[in-house]
Amino acid sequence: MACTQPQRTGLAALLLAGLALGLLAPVPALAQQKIGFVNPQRVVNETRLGQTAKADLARYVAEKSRLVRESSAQVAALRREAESPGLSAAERAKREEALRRKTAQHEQLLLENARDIKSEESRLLHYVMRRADTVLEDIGRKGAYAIIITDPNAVGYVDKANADLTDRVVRELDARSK
Amino acid sequence: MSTPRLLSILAVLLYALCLAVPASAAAKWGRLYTITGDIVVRGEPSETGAQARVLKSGQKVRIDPRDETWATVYEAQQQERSEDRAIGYAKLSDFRDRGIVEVMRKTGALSVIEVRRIEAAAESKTEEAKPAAEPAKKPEEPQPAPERRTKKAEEPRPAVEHKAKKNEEPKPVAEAKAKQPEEAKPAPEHKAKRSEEAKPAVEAKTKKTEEPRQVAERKTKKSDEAKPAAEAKGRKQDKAEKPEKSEKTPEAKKVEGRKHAPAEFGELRVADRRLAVRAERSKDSTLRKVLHSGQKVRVDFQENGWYAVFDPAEKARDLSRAWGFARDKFLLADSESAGAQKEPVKPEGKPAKPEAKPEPAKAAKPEPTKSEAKVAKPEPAKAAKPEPAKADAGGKNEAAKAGKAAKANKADKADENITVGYSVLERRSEKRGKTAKGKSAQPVATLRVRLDLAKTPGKDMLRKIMREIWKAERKKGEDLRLEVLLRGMDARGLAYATASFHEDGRIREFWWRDVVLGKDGK
Repeated sequence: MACTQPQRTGLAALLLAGLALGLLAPVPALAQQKIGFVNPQRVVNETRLGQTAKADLARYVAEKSRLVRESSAQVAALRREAESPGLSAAERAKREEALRRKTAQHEQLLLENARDIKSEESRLLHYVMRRADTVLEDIGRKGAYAIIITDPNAVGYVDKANADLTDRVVRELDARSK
Repeated sequence: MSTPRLLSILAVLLYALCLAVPASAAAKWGRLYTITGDIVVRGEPSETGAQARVLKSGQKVRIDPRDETWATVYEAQQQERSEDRAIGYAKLSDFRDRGIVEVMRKTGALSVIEVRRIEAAAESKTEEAKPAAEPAKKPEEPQPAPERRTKKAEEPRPAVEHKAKKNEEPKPVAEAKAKQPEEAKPAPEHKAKRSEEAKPAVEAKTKKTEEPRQVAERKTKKSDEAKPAAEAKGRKQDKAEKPEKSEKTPEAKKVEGRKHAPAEFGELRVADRRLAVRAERSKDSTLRKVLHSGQKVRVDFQENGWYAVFDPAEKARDLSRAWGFARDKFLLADSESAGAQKEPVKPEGKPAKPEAKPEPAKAAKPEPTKSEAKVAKPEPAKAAKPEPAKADAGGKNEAAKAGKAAKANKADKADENITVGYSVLERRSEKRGKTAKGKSAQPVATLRVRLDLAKTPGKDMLRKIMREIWKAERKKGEDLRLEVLLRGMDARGLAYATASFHEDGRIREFWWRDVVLGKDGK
């Protein structure tokens, strides 16, 4: 079938318009993909693994506290010695120096403990979340999630019924760590 | 050819001749000795002569026998054979005891002949020297070394008795070599002294033989008393065995001379890490060489925690041929490094070789292993310490071996002596700043090890194991913190247990993470 020149021009224009419309329209596939959210704090609190990690952290803190108590007791003993009556000036100066040193060590210990506890906490949390990651991957793949967010600060609103996957992750993780 | 050219060639030849003559002349008299113990040099060849000097271990001298008893002592580089140039006089028997002839340096027959002459002189002077030589000559009734050792150990007898016995039972060369230290008494005046010295060694050996010995056990002891104790033991033994070395030397020489196949000396060991070889037995001395991890070397002359390190192919037990000195604890016995062969030592003890090397010293070696291969690294984690009634761990330098699992299972049975293998995964060191007083703080290191246990050990057990590892691995003055992983755990992941220690080995901090077990840990 032969087309006249004006017919050809009209066909081309139609095609171009179709292409332009196609580009401007939203992609239906993207509209189907889901976004999920997992609350890591709940994962830690509600899974056995997380609770074990918390118990580990508590033990760690207790151990650090024991060190602090020992150190405090030593400081107190030195203080008593330094303040005991009847000491010569030289002896008192010596004991005060010892007390000063011990106090400095004690303060250092407190600082280090706080730092260590924080870092241990983060290590344990990281460990639990790494285990949870494998579960997330499975859920994401099976549920066709494009993104699963685990940072509560990055989320303004979560539709708990549809987007919050925390319960699922908890169940799955517990099942795996049996 | 033109005349000037001929002349120049002649001149060169003449010059070469001039150089060669003194050199060869130098080699034609006296003998070079490397001293292995103190030798008194006197102003005249007499016991009453004034003491001119004391030759120290490692010193090299040239000696020239002047009669059956005495030799003139020269500086090693002395070329002129004139008594005016001598340092003094020393007894030939002393050189037999505490000198090593540099036989291998000179390949000519002269060396051998001279050695014999010296020995002959000593023999004619004192009968005691004979036994030393005999064992090598008639190895008709080879006796298992361990047995003999046990016997000896059980009945430490006066030197004379030893002698008699030795004559009755000639041993194979190797054995004889091992034994000599205690038995062959060169000079009468040394005899009493020597037999006394030998006693402790014998006792030590006895103990070794009597107790059910395991490689682990050595470590156990060590771990119990902490390294220092073990080292001290090693040193003691070293001391007791010093004469051994010196005695061995002439014999070895003889064998070499006769067979032209020099006997091997020392033992082959493998560096378990990059290891510095230094010019002297001191970490401050010049660095001569660096051994790479796994490099095989021949070692001997163990003293104060240092080995003299030789080329593995080296045949001459000559200190001057050593590459240098390296810390003994980083040189693993060849079999250990090979891994699988490491087996518990049976009560009967090992054959010949063990005697030559102070075993306790070996045991004292923590032999820290670095590679991840369990085989290469098995370490004495727990020793069969006579520790509290409960769970004694048998410290063992044991490669991850079949059968270990079974042992490991015992770990949880509190009342048994067990052996726990471990492998060192990583050692991190850091230097902390300065203390409040301005002194530089202790170096801090973190050692990450993997226990070769089938089951998770109980906490008390774990504490003990970690203490033993700490004792074995900690370097002097170091604040060593331990991280312990169990089988199957990611080497870079969280450790199961962590501990830090007081200077005296008590645990300062200890905690563990059940979470890494993958379950609630209950």
